[in-house]
Amino acid sequence: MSNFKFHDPLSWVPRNSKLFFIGGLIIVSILLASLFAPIIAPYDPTDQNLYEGLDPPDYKHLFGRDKLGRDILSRVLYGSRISLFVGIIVVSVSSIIGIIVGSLSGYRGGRVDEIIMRFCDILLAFPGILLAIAIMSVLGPNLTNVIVALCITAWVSYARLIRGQILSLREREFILAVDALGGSSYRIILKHLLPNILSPLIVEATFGIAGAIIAESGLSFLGLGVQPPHPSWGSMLNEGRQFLLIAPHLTIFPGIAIMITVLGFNFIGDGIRDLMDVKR
Amino acid sequence: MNNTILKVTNLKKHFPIKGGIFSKIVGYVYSVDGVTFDIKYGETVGLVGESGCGKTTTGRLILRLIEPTDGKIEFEGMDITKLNKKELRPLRRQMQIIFQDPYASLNPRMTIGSIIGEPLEIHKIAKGKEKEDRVANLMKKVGLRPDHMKRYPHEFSGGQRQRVGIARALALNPKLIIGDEPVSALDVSIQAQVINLLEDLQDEFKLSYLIISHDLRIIERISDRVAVMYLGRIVEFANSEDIYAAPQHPYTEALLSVIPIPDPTVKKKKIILKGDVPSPIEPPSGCHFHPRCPYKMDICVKVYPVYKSPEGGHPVACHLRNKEGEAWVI
Repeated sequence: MSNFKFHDPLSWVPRNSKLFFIGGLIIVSILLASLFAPIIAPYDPTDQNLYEGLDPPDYKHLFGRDKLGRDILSRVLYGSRISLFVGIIVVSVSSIIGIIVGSLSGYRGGRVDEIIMRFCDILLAFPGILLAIAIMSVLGPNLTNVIVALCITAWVSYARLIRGQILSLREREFILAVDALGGSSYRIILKHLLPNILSPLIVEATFGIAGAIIAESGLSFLGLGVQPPHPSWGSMLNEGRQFLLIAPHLTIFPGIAIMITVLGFNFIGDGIRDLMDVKR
Repeated sequence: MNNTILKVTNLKKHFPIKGGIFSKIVGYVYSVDGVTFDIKYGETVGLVGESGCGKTTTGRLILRLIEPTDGKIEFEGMDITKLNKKELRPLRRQMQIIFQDPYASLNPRMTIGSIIGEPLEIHKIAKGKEKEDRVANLMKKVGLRPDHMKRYPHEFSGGQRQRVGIARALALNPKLIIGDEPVSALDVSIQAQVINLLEDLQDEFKLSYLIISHDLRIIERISDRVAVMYLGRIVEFANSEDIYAAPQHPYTEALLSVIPIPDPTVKKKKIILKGDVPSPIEPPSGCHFHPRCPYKMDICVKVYPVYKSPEGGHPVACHLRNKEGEAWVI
C-alpha cells in the first residue's frame, strides 16, 4: 500500500494554481477553437443537405447533422464565437458599470446611495430574462441588442456586491488610517478598497460570464438572439428541441459545449481567488 | 497658553438614531457630550474610562475623522474645527493616530514597506529609492528589520504589526500622536515593550501624546496628566501623581480601588460599582454617575455638577467637591 503513489499529471503546477491552470487550459482551447473555427471546422456551418438531415454522428460528421443536414461540429465551433463574445463583453461592460456605481453608492452613502439602491431594487424586481425579453422586443432581435439587454440587467449584481463590500470595509481601521494620513477618496477607493474586493468580484465575474453565455443561449433559444442561419449554442438547442427523442445529438453537443465553457470559467474564477489570497 | 499644543473646548458628538421608513431622527447617542482638556508640548495625557464612554470617539473627533456636533478644537492656537478636507491635509502631517487593533489597522493586501511609505507618498515627501531609505530608517527606529519590507501584515505578530502602525504614524514627523488603546490588544510582555518604544520615541522626537486606554496601570505608567471620562464627559483631570494619590471624583476612586496590586499581603478596600455604564442614549438625570455612586446626595439626581477646580485642587465634576458659590476656575 505504502508503495502506491497516485500519479498527478499536474505535479509541476504550483499547488494553489491547479484550478486556475485547468480552467485556463479549457478556456484557452475554446478561445483558439473559436478563433480558428474557419480552419478547424470540417464543413461550412450553413451548408445544407436535406437528404441527410438528422443523421446521427459518424466518422465523417463527428457530431452528426441537424434537421437541414448541416454539420453540427462546425456549427458548435462557429457558435463558440458568439457565446464567448457575448459572455466576455457583457461581463466587462456590466462589471465596469457596477464598480463605478457601487463604489459611488457605498463610499458616498447618504442620499446618493439611497437613490442608486432603490433604482437597483426596481431592476431586480423584474426577472432578468423577462426584462431582457422586453428590451429585445423593443430594440429588435440581433446580437448587439442581446448584449445591451443583458448589460442593463447584469450590472446591478456587481453594483450591489461592491457597495456591500465597501460598506463593510469603510469602517475598518486601515481605511481610517489613510483618512488620518490625508489620503484622497480616489486613493482610498483605488488602492485600499478595490484591491480588497477583487477576489469576490472576480469570482462574481467568472460566474457572470457563465451566466451571460446561458442567458444568450436562452434568448437565442426563444428566437430573440442571433438569427438563423448563423449558429449560436442557444439557437442550436432551440432547433434540436423538436427532435429531442429521435435525434438527441442535436442538443447534446451544444449542451456539452456550454457546460464545458461554463465549467472552465468557474475553474478560472476559483483559481484566481486562490492565487490572489496573499495568505497562501 | 504658548506651551499648549492641543486645546479641546466643550467638544460634542451626538450620533443621530434613525428609525421608521423615512429615516426620521428618533433620538441621539450622546457619545461625547462636552469634553474640555488640553495637552502641552512634550506631554502625555492619558484618557481613561470604561468601554462605551466616548474615549475613542473623542480621539477621532480631534483628528477630524468624524465631524463634531459642537465645540472647538485648537491645534497650536489654530481653530481646526471647521476646516474642510483640503485645508486639513497640511495638518495631517502634525497629528497622527495609532489604532487599537493591529490586525485591522493594516491593509492586508499591501506590503509593510508600502504601508509605512504611504504617508510619504500622499504628502509627496519622497519617492522611489529615497522613500525606501526612509521606510527602512523608520523600521529600524521602531525595532523592525528593514529586510522585512516586502512582507505582508499577516506574516507578523500582533506586537510587530503595532510597530508597523507606529512607524506609519511617525513617517510624517508629527508633533502630536493620538494612541487609541495602542497596547490593549497585545500580550502583557509585549505591552511593556511597545510602551517603552513609545516613550523612547517621545524623547527622541519631542512628541506629545494623547493615550486613550481603559487600563489604569498603563495610563499611570505613561501619563503626565490623566483625564477620566464617564459617559461622554470628563469627570476629573489632574496630574498623574495627584490623581493616583488622592482621587477626587467617586468614579476615579472606584476605578483606582480595583487595580490589582502584585502583592498578596496588601489588604485594600475595593469599591465595586453597581450595574453597568448607563446608556448614552438616555443618560441619567443630574450627575450621570449618581445611579452607581456610593456618596449619592439629593442634588446629584437633579443637577449636573459643574466641571471646575475647587480651591487648591484640580478640575473635577462632583457636587461633593464643588460646593455652591465657590469660585469657578476653568
